[in-house]
Amino acid sequence: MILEANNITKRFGGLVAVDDVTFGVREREIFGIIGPNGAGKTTLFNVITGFYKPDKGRIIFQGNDITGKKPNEIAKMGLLRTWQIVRPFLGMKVIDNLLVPMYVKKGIIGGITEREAIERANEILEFVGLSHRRDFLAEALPQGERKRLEIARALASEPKLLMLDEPAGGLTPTEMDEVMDVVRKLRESGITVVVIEHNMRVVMGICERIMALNFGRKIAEGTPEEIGRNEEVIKAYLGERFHVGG
Amino acid sequence: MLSTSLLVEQTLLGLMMGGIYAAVGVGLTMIFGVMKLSNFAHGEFYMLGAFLTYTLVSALGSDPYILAPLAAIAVGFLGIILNKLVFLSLYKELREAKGAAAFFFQDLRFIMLTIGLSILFVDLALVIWGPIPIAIPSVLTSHIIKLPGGFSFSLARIVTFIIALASLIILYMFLRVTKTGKAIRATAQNPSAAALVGIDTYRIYDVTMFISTALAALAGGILGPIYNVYPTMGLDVVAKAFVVVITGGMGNIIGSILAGFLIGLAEGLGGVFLGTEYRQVVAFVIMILVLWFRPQGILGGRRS
Amino acid sequence: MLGITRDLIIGDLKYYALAFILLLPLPLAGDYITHIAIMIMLYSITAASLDILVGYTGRLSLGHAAFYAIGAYTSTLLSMNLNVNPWIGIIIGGILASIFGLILGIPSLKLKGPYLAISTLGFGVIVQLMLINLDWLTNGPIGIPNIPPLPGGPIDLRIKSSFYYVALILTLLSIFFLHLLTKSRVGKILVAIREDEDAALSVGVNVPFFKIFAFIIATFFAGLSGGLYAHYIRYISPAMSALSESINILSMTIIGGFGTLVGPLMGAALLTILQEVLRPYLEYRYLIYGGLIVVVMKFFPSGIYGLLQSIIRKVRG
Repeated sequence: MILEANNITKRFGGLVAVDDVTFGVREREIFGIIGPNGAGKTTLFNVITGFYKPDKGRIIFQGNDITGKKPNEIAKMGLLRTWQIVRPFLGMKVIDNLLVPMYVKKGIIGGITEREAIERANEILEFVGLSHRRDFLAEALPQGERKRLEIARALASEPKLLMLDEPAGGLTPTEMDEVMDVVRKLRESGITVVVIEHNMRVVMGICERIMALNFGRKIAEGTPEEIGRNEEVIKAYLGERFHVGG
Repeated sequence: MLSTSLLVEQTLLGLMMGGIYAAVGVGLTMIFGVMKLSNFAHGEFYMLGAFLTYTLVSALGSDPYILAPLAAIAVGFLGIILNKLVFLSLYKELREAKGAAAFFFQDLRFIMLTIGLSILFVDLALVIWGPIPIAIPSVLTSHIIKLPGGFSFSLARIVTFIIALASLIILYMFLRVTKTGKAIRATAQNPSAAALVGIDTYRIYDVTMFISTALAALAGGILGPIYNVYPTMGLDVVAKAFVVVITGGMGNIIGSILAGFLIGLAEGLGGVFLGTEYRQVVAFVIMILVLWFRPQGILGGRRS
Repeated sequence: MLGITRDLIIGDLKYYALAFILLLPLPLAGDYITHIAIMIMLYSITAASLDILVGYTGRLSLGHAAFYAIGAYTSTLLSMNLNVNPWIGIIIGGILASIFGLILGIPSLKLKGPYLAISTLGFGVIVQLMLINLDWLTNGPIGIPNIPPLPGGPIDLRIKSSFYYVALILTLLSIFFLHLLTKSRVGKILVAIREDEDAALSVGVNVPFFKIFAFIIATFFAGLSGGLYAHYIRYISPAMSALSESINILSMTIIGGFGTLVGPLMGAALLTILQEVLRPYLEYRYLIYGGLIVVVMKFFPSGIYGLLQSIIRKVRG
């Protein structure tokens, strides 16, 4: 298990956003987290990556207890995340967006020469298909490319585990296929991937194991087929469909 | 060493000043709550209210306590004009800003612009009325009221306090009870939702600016008979106004009212215990304590 | 080292050499012009240092003059009471200013936007009040006159044209350092923090550390130029830490164009010259000054430098 989350609970005032969630992620697998809106998926992400402190529970990454560590410490240990609404460094060039995490990871003073850093950044840009945008300001990129930049930036930090928050959100079906390809390529290069995703096509398409949340609680865990047949999961999503507008 | 009568006197004086701080602070917090803008020129409306009252008194001969509300209304309209000329377009760009850096840019832009306005207004006042501090004559300053316990205050101070308090109460009722008041509160909570339910948000911004500036101007006008009026008086008050806003919680009306009185009181007592030189520091020390230990303010940073 | 390649240094060095050469003959224009130039240079250092904080890291400070004053008072008191060589005094002034920068910086970490602005404002006011009230140390509101000049060996640095060259070299060195900083790896990290703090955290940036780093650098240079000012004008007073002075410095940074380092230099030049040119119109001076700020902020929020850049872009087509 590269990541273990045990009994994670997070409350905001009276609201329990994450309720006693336990799960584990195996090395080099693609693990999915699904659930209707408000199920606590992003909160769980934020707890694991250090942006929130859990009220209860422990998080173990590669055998180390990272509960309560700061987000930047966790990132340097190799646990990276992307954001649901992408947050590139808009006022910087695309390549600089990648250089910053690289400097931080490898060493600001020394650690990595400028030439090596630029080489590696170029490689990553090629991997996600953004080489043609190298010297553009990030704010010049359209939404689909910004999503790829988001992933590229995380890759610059040499993640062992990459957590993607709704990578397919707002994308066209073609763009979605591209994202799914990138995720598979990531796994091939040895990175474990955890995906929060709303879009069933994407989830069923790439995830090997899936955990379903509803109202902050884990309601199911298993292979895509098992999840697809799971009554609670179906109810949760059907319920959501009826709930829209109410 | 410290006589009780000195303490009580300073407490009362502090509370009276607190009413003024509250009135000025409330306007500032409303602008922040409704439009998310930090208006660094706010003190200048206070100052203009005082000077305008003086001019009206000189021209018409009536008492400043009668003319101050008129001056306040005039300044209120000035606020609306400024809204239409400068503030609202910047506000739009702030709302449309995407990303933390863009928001910071627009926010900084507005802060800097209001700083420029402040400098402009102070100099305008200097040019029109001159640098020498002016006292606004009032019949009430010479009427001394003796309170039980041996304290005497001029009627002017008491009337100032009463008007300040009354206007705060009226404002509170207005926001609670009237349709426009509720619309203001709704817009502060969620401008998009407010627009969806049919609230004319741009009219609300004008109304809010009117109330905010008029209240500050009123405070200046009714303070004129007690303290001198001079072009930089707004600068002295605006820093305190921000302290009031932060202590009470940005956007929180009740918070600002309470904080205003709290700071007035603390200043008064601080002057007794620490000496007059350190009076000025009291407000800032309170603010720093609030920022470090309870940055959302004593009542939390949303509207009442 | 720090991502500053040799090419970068040498590439920019020619601009500084050019500036140095162009500015060499300025004292020929007379003492008045020389004085204005010196003031512009001192303000340039302060405005550029503020830009590191405001423009590059995205942290608004309305109390920067306080550090300028701390540097000035430190160097003054050391040279007058302990006979410390003013050259050393100025450096210590910068260091003490940056220690205060650290003291203000740490609790400011969790503040942003107007909260940060007001707390820096409050800090500036408190420093001014302390300078006024601790009169056993600072001589109170009267200020301290007859500050010893910088010792220049055989050269009398009380002579404006001589001091000018000292100021020129120190200013160019300071700006050069700050410039390299903005181009370095650290500079990019600061910009990342300005762009999106949380995103920076999520890729491993130690945001609190770098925020404090920016504070320390900015306040060090403010303190340094304050010390220079003290041994040039040779009179200081608590008014140096006034809010109006902080606003003056901030205006230079923003009207010039924040986040560009060059912008604040232009702003310092423009506003200093403006204040001198408008001096005879004593009363109306600030009408124009305030009006300028309003107009620039409404129509050219990226400042003069931003305006120049867009004009150049349009011309290039």
